[in-house]
Amino acid sequence: MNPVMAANLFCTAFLVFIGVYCMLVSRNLLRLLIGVEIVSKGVLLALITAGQAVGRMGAAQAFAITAVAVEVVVVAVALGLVVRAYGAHGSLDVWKLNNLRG
Amino acid sequence: MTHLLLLIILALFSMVAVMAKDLLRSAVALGVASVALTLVFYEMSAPWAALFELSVCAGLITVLFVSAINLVRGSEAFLLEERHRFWALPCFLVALGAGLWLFGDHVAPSLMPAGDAADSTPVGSMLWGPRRFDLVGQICMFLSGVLAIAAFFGPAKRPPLEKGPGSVSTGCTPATFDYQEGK
Amino acid sequence: MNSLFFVLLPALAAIVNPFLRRPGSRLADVLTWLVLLVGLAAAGLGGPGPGQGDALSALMLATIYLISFLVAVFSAFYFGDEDPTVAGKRASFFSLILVCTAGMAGVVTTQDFFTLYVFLEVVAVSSFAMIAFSGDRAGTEGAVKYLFLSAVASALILLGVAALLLTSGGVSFAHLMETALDGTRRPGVLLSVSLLICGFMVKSGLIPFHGWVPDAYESAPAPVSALLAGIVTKVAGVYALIRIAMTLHLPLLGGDYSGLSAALMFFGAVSIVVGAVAAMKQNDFKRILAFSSISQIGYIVLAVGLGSPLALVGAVFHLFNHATFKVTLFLNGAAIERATGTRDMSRLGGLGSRMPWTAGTSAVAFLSTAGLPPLSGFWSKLIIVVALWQGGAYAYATLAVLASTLTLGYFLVLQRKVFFGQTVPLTEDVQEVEAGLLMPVVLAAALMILIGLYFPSVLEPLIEPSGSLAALTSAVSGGTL
Repeated sequence: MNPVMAANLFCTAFLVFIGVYCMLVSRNLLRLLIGVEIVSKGVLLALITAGQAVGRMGAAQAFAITAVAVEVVVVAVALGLVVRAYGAHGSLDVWKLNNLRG
Repeated sequence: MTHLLLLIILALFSMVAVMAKDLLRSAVALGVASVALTLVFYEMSAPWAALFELSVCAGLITVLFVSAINLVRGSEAFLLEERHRFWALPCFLVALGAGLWLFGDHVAPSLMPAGDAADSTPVGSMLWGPRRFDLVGQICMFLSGVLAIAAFFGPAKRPPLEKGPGSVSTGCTPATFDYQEGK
Repeated sequence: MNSLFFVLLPALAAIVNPFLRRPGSRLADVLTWLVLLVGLAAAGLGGPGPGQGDALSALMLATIYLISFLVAVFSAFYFGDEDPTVAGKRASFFSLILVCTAGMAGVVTTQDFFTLYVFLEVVAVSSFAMIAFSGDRAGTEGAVKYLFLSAVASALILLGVAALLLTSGGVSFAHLMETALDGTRRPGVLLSVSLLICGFMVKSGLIPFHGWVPDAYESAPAPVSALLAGIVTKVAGVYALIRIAMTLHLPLLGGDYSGLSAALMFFGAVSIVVGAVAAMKQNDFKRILAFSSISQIGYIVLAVGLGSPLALVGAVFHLFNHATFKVTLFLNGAAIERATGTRDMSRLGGLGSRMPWTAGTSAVAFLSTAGLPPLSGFWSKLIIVVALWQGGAYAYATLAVLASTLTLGYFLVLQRKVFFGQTVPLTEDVQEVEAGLLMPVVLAAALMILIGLYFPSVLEPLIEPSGSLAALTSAVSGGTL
């Protein structure tokens, strides 16, 4: 494994960890979404790194582009949902989302 | 060397995005991290992915986040989170780095690249050729996104009731979106 | 029939639907029904052409269109004009059902993991929208929980795709199979498949990733719960697990992938037990059904983990059966809620005399879930238990049988409490719901009975989906490929 690929994979691991940590520790719904975005970045980096390692940059870029397009719709809908949840509950606190029992 | 620097900037600004107290600062830090990722992609000879990452993630998603943050501005919207947990993040990251460094050799065999799959079709012919079905998927994705937003923010009116006097309207008031005072 | 047809037909109808909106009209509903019926007929007549999806895809397509059709019919009658959930947004609701169907069709007809991911996101987004459709507190809460767990799962799946690209040079099922057959690449395959399996396990709602299931099912509008439990969770998660098992042919390379096999079987078994036990402690019948779903999906995953041809046949059959059970139970639950105004079972009683059709179809569904002969559920569970026994997993086979008894036990208690016995004051003057709401459940119950009775002649079309596995098995062991 050449050093560049190793560095990229290191960075992917860091990004995924940062994102997951953010999702676990935050109370604010919007910050949770930022965590999701960071994990996404890590995964995109992993995709392109994989493509470069096997020599299929065309395919890897196609995957990355499609993944980005999909991700933007998911983020837009997620933001819409969070704003709607704010309207219904009056707060963005994750810990307050316990009305459904069990 | 530039590559390593860009990766460091990427990880650093992601960390800032998580640890910043103000949500707007988080969103901007996320945007900067996206720009760093763009440059990383460009350096890895993935110019088209870089372009998309720049315009969509660094641009569009940052704008979406900032709009959402402004939409929920209210006295209760921002909480005092446990800041000490956020400041623990760098310690965890150092531990992660050390762990990966020490045990990286064990993980390496599962990351051996396949040697015989090299294929130099450019992105365009790839997207419109073998991966054409993904484009159908993208269309469906946009469709569901539009319908979802329409479902969340659509007209919440109740159609006029034709019943006689003394009837009670069914159900409760749909949640009206009132971002001035929450609910 | 081109696989594109199955995806584009509902998608186009979904685009047309909002333009048919006129107050008081039912054009959108009718268009949805027509489209879904056409799709069902097309799937029944042959499914996607060769090279675009095999017999398993055809069976899944038929199931998807069938369940979506039943839910669409029910929703049309369930949501009156004044219903606050869909007031003014009726056409969007039916469009969402159509888009969800299109997404699911895409998931089951694709031949590679990345396209699977893309269509999986389509299904996820339309699910969020449907769960939170009414915009009330419960709906948004369930949708938010589902959203975040689904986002994690999607990230895991995409990471698995990246790992697959790295270690196999490609992301299609064929690439995975080739790489798996090549013994030297085991660690790479293990990494990518583990990531993928973790992602799909979260999507299926297996223990320990089941956190979103009870809340999402409970808080969604009633027909949406039926759609989710009936087909979405299965297509999103379990179908992919079946595909992975088929591609890796677990029993063949038993030694190499026994760890994966054991892990899947373990989580499946845990889900069976925890789901069954947790279901007994609930009072709200939607939550009971949610935990029961987790339990039944545990059966499917247990069989998938074993991976032998017979086990896969059992898994696929149980998948189809469970779709019919859950859609019946959730739709009936919605009918009961509509008629009595409550979902709390401790306050219901004696509904059997007041709502005979609902009670009858629920009874059929309960008994079939518990695996009573001669209903369809009995056969699928039998196949799974026999496959487990033949595969040497005696402990798991016994567990499966015992859990069935447990399921039968609490369903009988449920049936007795809610339907039999004396009518309590709440249910004194309850009426049976209208025919439109009953038609889907009667159809599903009829299917359960017919498939159970005519099981031998049904086996042939079901052997086929795993037939490709059997053919590959013999080819590989014969030294040719």
